[in-house]
Amino acid sequence: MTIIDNLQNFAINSPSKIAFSKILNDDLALQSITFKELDDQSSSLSSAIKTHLANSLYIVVLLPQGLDFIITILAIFKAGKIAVPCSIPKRKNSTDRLLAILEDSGSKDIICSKIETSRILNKNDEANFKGITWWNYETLIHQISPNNISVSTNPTAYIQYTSGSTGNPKGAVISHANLLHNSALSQKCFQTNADIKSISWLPNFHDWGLIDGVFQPIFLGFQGFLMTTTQFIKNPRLWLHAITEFEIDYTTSPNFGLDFVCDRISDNELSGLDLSKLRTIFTASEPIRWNTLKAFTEKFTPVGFNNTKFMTGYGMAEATLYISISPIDTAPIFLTVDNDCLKENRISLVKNGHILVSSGKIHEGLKISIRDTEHQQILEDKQIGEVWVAGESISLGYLNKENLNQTLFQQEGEYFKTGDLGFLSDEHLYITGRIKELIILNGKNHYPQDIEQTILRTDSHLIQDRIAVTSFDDGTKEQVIAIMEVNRNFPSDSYKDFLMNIQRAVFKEQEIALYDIVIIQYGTIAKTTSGKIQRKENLDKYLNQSLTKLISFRDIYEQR
Amino acid sequence: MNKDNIALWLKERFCKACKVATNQIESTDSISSFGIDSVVLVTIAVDLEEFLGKEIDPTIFYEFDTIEALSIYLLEEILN
Repeated sequence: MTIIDNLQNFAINSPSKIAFSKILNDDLALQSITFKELDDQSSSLSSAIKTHLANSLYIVVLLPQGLDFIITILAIFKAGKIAVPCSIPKRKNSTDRLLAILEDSGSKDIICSKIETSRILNKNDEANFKGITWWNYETLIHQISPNNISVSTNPTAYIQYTSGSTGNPKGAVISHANLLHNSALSQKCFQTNADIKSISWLPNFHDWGLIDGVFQPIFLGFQGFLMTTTQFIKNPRLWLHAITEFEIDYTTSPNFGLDFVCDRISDNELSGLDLSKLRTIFTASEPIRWNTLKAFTEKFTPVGFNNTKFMTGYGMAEATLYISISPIDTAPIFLTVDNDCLKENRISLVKNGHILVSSGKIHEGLKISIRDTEHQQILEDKQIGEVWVAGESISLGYLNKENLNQTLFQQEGEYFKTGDLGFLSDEHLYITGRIKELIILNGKNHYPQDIEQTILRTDSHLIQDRIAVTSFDDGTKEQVIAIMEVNRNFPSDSYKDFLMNIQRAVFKEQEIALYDIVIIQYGTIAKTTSGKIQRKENLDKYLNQSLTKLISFRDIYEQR
Repeated sequence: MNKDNIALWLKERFCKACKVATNQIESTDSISSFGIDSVVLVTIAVDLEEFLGKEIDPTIFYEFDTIEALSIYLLEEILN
């Protein structure tokens, strides 16, 4: 069994039912495709793939959010190939990640639209793509080879590249069995069925947008509405307008999306909205902030929203997607804990303190174990440790990373070490932080190593492994800081330009505005005895103001 | 529409986003120093589209990182 069986079943039994509707503009004009059309079109593309890409296994998919993307993913499955969905590089000289993924997966083939192919090759050095074939979606879909329509899926469905720094991408291998297991698990929690409607604005190349926006409607045979992330950011009311007009039952958003909607929609713009028929907004991926849920509920109560419509959860690409999900039709569950204890990784329940929102319950078919980060022993309820997960949704590992897979994916034979810190309380999972040094901004993953390399290139007085980029939660959002040493021969009258150059470079290359940049005395940056940078230790010193600071960006900035 | 109109609009819009008075920002300051979140930059791009009546790619703020450089680019490349 694979998801292709589900598709073919709906194509036969409810051929004229609409599978997907893409929202084309602010007036809610739709472009729709039925289950029968989706099955037929993906079969014809599949035969073209089998004919023209006969010897390829991994196929990179570079298509915008929408129907062409979905048809292509399904066609790759049907052709017995493995899909590698990637984000389209939009800017000049921005293909580093794509090139690293091509190399890591060994893929030699990209399916892309005609227009994007020429855009990408105009803005970047074409020579970097030597040996890679760019297949035009428009050309492939119109080539029919009728002898080649039989379906023979590969055990592996796709490779999800959401982990790893730019230079060292890590692709989780997701099998068809993983996909079906995780889809069935989420169906139980969300109580979704063929009669509901969903809407998604999350990127399709990302695990959440892929499972939730693309595979759930096919798995259960319901109508999925799609809008692009750009459409949402440009006009967040469109999301709620579509929920109202099409009587949507189920949708999702990371925390920043909920904040954004609250900020951008004025009370006057509430008129015409009706969220009373919506059953669920599922939120996860970033820390789930109590204040965000509260503000959203207050704002939209006049148009039929209430907080029992929120569901919260925890997941990641390495687990296909969902790990834990809170109960349906229930207000978010939370604990109030002492903030100072929390900073020391201890849980102490208090009356007034920091509110931690539950990331949901553990479900049948998955196991969660909280482990001591040093000795790996099992911890009790309300003790903070690393979150380990096991079950049939968990990926077999990263593609071509055998050594890493043994340590990360095969703990005690079956557990995946998530790198996240959390605890269990009454079968609910609470996420409190991360061991891995990943920085998540507006739902997007950033790796400190990438930002450190950008900084290093700005000035010859900077030293490799003496730059620490790290982040902290200031209560409303994640703030990124850079702490560094400079050579002793650094001219002290040029600090200001030096700091501005760093700020500018990180902004241009990584699209991040650093909260602070601190230059500290030479020889004082925290490192291990083997010379590895200790980002967490440097952050702690920054927060308790014990760095031997020479000058910082905020010193200059706040004088303005 | 000339360069100064555009620069003034950008200055006021950035000051609004940073919640500072208009004399706090110079046209030659790097936009990176304002500490504006990437999501907010997209909303500024949306407002800029409305102001200029042309489609704006939100990544221009990363390419041209002062109000001065941005105004020249918008006038010469986008409006003409």
